Amino acid sequence: MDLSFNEKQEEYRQHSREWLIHNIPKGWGTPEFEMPDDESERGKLLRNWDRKLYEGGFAGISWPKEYGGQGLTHVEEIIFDEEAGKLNAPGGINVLGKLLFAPTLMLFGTEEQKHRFLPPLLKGDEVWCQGFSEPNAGSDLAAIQTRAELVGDRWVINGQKVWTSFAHHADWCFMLARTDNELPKHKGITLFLVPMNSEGITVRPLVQINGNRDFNEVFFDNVSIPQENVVGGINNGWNVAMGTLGFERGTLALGRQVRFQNEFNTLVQISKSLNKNGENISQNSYYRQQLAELFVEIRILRYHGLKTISQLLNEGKLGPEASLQKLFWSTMHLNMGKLGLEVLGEEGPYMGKESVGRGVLQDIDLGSRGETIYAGTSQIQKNIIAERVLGMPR
Amino acid sequence: MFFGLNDEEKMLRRSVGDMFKDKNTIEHVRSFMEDKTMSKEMQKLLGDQGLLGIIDLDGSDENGKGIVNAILVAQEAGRHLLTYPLLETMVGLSALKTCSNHTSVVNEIENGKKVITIAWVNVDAKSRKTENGYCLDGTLREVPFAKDADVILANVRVLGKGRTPSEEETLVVIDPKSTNLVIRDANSIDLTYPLFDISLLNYHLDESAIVKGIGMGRGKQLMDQMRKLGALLLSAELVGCAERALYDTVEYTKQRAQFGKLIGSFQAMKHMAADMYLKVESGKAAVEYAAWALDSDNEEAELAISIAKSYTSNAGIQVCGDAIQMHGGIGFTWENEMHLFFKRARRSAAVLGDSYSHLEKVAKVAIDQLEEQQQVANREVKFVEV
Repeated sequence: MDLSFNEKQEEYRQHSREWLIHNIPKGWGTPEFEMPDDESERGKLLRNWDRKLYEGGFAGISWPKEYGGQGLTHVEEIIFDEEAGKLNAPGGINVLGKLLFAPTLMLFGTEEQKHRFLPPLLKGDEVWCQGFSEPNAGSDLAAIQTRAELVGDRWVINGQKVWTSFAHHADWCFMLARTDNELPKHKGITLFLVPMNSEGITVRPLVQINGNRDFNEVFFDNVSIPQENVVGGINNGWNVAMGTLGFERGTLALGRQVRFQNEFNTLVQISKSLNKNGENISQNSYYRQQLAELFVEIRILRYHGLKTISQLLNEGKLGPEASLQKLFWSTMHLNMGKLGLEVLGEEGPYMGKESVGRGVLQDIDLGSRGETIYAGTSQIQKNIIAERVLGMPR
Repeated sequence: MFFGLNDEEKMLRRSVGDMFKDKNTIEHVRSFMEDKTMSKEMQKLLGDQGLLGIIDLDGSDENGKGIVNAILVAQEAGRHLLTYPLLETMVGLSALKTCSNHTSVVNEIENGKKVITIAWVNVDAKSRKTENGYCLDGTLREVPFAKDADVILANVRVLGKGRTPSEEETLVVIDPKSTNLVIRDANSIDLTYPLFDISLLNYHLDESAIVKGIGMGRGKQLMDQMRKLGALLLSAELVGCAERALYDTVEYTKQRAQFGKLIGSFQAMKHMAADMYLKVESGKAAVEYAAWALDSDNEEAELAISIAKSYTSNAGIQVCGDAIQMHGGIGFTWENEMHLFFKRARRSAAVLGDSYSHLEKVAKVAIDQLEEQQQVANREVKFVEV
């Protein structure tokens, strides 16, 4: 057990920090910063950040150089994430491409596919979205109904996806479609790569409960793509998707952890600014206990993150234990939202610019309601832990 | 950066676990609960294996202070409900070793020839100077296995040896076989780890019984260090105890059938088990991190220990309590062992700082010491009267 970072890694941390300070868009992360109202302007702003990251040498930090990465390790990756989190750096627009699609392609893609798709992804030239969930296939992902049929030398896709984040900005979609109706439901699925400008694709934005418009419904109406746009082989899509979901659940923990710590500090500041029953909230023993308990969980999230990264470094992959992390952080964040609103008390309903905390606590409270759902609901994570880690019968 | 156990650490954990599995079975634990006599065999075994003195606070070699090894041993002790004051031995020896006057008793304890325990709480024991030493009177509390001990470490006040009562505190070695003290069973909820009270009456304290000098804050400093170390090791015991309760319960759900199905196939059971697993693993991570922090003199070691003890105290009770629930009716019977884990967790959670007091320590760092950051709301601070 050695949790210290060596000198070279500390230098990398310093280097990351300095670059970030000089390159983060002015005012970003402060309440004064206003995102453009126009969606496409918003998309442009985020895409520019991805390009900047690439130019600065901070895109694909742990990826091989031949695919446009930096050829470093996951340790440098988490160091950068952590520093970016401390400074509330933007997330970029290609999160799904970088975190989910790219690692999946590295595991299951052909050499040709890796060289074709990874470099433009890193550069911010091609943004990706993920077409997995459907109206009738959420937790039961294998129940997807979107079909792909081989017509001549092209696949023709018909169906509907939902929860498709960034689809309205994306150039490509990696998506699951059924290729064999005769096989058991897990066996007849294939992963396809679909250009979003294909004829027959309609993107309809969905507004989330926090007012954000990050995700969409995507309709496929006789969308035709080349025969070779398949990853991991025909009818092998379930295996490929399971790999993807492992990445979704386990990585990025440290950057997220630091962002949660920032939010916690904001919550503490707000609690210091409010009184209840004539007593300052931050001095009241009930709230002190609640806040301390939350702080403890945020710290433990960091420990989990370090453990996961160590496992990734040692074994090259993440096991079903990644579900633990997803369950842990999303539940913790939900509790943070609850506590935030409890601290606000009668200020709770007000979330405009004039309100206490300018609505940040309400944003956490509302946003966290989605986090225990996406990337596998908490209930699904618990099933995975019980069945695959603890070996309880199906 | 590597957060995990290396091969040596894994081997230590396995060999200690195997030993307890063999020599400290539930049958052993139950017979200890009946006749309340500590096993001489275990005492000798622990000494022979060199497990008692594995903490060396002055250690500076690559093994650090041995704290990581100590939490692995403690975790196994918790897992097997060890009926031996192993925690007090590891902690007590670490304190005694800092004083060269006690080398011979240190050796006897390390070799398993003598049993040491610690009086964790001093109610009102204080000593006055006499012609040939000191005379000690008062009550000590929370002394595990006192009836079987040969040596008791206690922190007592020596009147006049400090400007404040806490400065007068002095760590001393007490002989439980003396006729000037009475040992009373304090009826701990946890029969696997009995606690005793001790009343001292005209107990003669020789100069040679003093550890690291009299008063002047030295005793308090040593005791604070011992309590911190003890809290960490107890957190590790809680993790082991909860982990065993979880896995034994999961095993039971794979055998017990109701409604014509194994109960482990019911989602209600799976979700409880998954929550328990999350708590066990989170507690384990907190304990391992704190051990590393203490081993490497990290400035956040004290905070990390409070994080570990507060978390594992709550988690341990929750997990062991849920284990009873998942067993159903049989889990509420004396013959089932789940209550042994639950009660051990109850005691461990309560002593050496309960969750509330450790969370308050965390609050001091997380709330009171938080630097004034950028103003969150760019308007005047608003006070609300409810």
